[in-house]
Amino acid sequence: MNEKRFINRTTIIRLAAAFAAVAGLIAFGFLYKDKWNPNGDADPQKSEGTLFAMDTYMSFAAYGENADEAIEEAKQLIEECERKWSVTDAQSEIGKLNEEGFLEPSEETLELIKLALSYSKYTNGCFDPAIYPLVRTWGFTTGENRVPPQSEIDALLPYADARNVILDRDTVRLQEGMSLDLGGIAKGRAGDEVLALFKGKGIKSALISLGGNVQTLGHKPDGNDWKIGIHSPYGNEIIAVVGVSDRCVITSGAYERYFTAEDGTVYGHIISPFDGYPVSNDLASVTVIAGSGALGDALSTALFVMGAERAIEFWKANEGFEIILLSKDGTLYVSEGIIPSFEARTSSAVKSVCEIKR
Amino acid sequence: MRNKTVKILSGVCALLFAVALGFVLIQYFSVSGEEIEILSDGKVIYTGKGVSAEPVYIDAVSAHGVNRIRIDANGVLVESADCKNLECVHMGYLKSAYMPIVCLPNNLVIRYTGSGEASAPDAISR
Repeated sequence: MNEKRFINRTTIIRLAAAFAAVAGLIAFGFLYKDKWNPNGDADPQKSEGTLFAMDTYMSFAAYGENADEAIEEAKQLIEECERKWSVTDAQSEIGKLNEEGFLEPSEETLELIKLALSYSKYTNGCFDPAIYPLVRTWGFTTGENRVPPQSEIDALLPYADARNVILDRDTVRLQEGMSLDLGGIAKGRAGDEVLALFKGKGIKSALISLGGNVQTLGHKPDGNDWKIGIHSPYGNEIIAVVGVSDRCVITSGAYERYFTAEDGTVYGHIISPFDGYPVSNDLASVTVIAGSGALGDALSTALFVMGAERAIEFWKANEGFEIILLSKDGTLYVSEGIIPSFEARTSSAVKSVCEIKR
Repeated sequence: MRNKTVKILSGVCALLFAVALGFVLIQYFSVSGEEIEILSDGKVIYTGKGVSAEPVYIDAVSAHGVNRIRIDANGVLVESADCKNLECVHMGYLKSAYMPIVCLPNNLVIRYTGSGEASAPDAISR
């Protein structure tokens, strides 16, 4: 026996084997870490689809046995929504309503108009589906942007008032000169209908993005929340990430669709129903997290119209949604309900984060 | 003899350890999402690497218009297009799996086929 050896051969072999086993376990863990889903379904089938519709790019991801079929039906559903609700298609129900001032709408369209009018009332007119005469005169739906003369804006402003839409059981009537644009709510509503379709197909986990309107069904297949990034209004980066399930995350701002006038002024596509001009206040973007896409869509527009102070007051006075506001001075206001799943990202757009409480 | 056996076994275990460690490091530091696909009018017209040492040009021709796409050592971008707003060109290089390059007027999408980095969001609200 060698007295100088303080670790014998067997110990060396055992130690080496243990090292190898540990290393093997780590490698195994890395290899299968994405498939480890103790809270989710066992490796559910993922299906994806994309679609150009409603003047934007849409993507769908759904998990489950019927996901392929559900996505195909979702695409058809979206196209059907577009056929009914497009403001630029004279043959759509909204096109006919605007042309003739009268419509006996389908059940879905009537429901959407009722919803739009109720959200208009809820937001004290900040969301206004009757804004279309002004949107059109600024050229945001014709592609021929221009700064209209003040006299033209003054003449059109009285028609931009959803309170003058007459609903009589199954018919809709507009006063002469009025026209509706459901673009501020249609994508959110279409998303709600897609998720309802998915649910009906037995799908428990899905993520859809209708032109940046993100809506989720359930959790991710691994049981975690969906991580949704919020795009910076100033560049190709994200300012924050929120974790959600069964919620939509919808952002509005003047940075996606805008034009620059001859004098260098930038005009965004969200028109204020109060002065007839593209909204220009202290907000750069508004994100709403809500249970319904239609609500999130309408609120994101309405809060952007309100400006930071009024938007925060509105949130304090109402429940059922959370908000993230980015002001032009770089302050990111985050409502308390979303704070537990909120994560700020390094961005030149954000200088400070401020929690807002009721 | 027994010493030799111990040395061999120790060497084998050390080698296994090194291989496993190397695998972990490669997995950790490797850049995912390099495979891209280009869709024009909903049809896949290209799948492959999103980088190329020598510039590769792809013309995506659809019923709506033409986008000239370049894949070079820095990545993939739309170099020119005949669309009105040129947003696809202004987006520059494809940066992330969650933010595809989209040309709405010409029905063009350039995206990574992988899910991208683990910390990346699942989608972007904009």
